[in-house]
Amino acid sequence: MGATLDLDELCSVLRACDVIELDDCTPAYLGDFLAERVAAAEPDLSVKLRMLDGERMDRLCECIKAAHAVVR
Amino acid sequence: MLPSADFPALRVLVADDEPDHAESLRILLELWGHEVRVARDGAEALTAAEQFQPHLALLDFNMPKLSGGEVARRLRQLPGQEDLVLVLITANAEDAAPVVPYRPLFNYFIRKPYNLTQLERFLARASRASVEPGDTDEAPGT
Repeated sequence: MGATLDLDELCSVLRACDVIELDDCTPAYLGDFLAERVAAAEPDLSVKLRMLDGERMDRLCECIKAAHAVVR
Repeated sequence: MLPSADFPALRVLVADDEPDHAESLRILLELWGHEVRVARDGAEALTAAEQFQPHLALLDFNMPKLSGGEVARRLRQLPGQEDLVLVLITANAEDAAPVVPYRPLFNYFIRKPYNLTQLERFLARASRASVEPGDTDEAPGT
C-alpha cells in the first residue's frame, strides 16, 4: 500500500503546488517534484512522498487538481 | 522529457522574486535534466546571465530593481546574446499595458500557474530549435 499522508501533510502538498497546473495524467516526476518542494521545511513528508505508490500518487494528483478547481 | 542528442540539456536562468515560484521552476527544470540558475531580482538576473550564459531565460515581469522587461532590453543589447531565448512570465495577459513595450524582445510568453505538460513540451521544443525575437509562437499557459 505504501505511505499515507495526514491532513496537515496534504495541506502542505497543496501549498507546494501553488504555481503548477496538472493535466489529466499523473506526471511520472510528480512525486519527485513534491518531495523536493517540501524537503527543506518538512523532510519527513518529503520521505513519505517518495514512498507513495502509483495508486496513491494518482489519487493525490486528482486531489491537487480538485483543489485547484476550487481556488482558481 | 529528459535531455538526449535531439533534445540537449539547456542552461536556464530563472528570474522571479517569489521564492516559491522560482523554487518550483528550478525543481521542475532540473528534474527534466536542465542546468538552472535562479535570480531573485532584475539586477541579479543580469549578473547571472553574464556569468551563466544561459540558453534560455525565464523572466518574471514584476521584479524588484529591474523589471523582466528591462532585463530583456539590456540582455538584447549585450554582444553574443543573439541566440538567447527570452520567455516572459506574467500573471496577467501579455497584452497588459506595462508589458506591451517589451513584447518584441521576447520569444515566448507564459503565465502562471505553469501547466506542466505544456511547459515540458516547450522546453523540449526550445532545446532543439532557435527562435527569432518577436516570434509569438504558441506558448504554454496561454
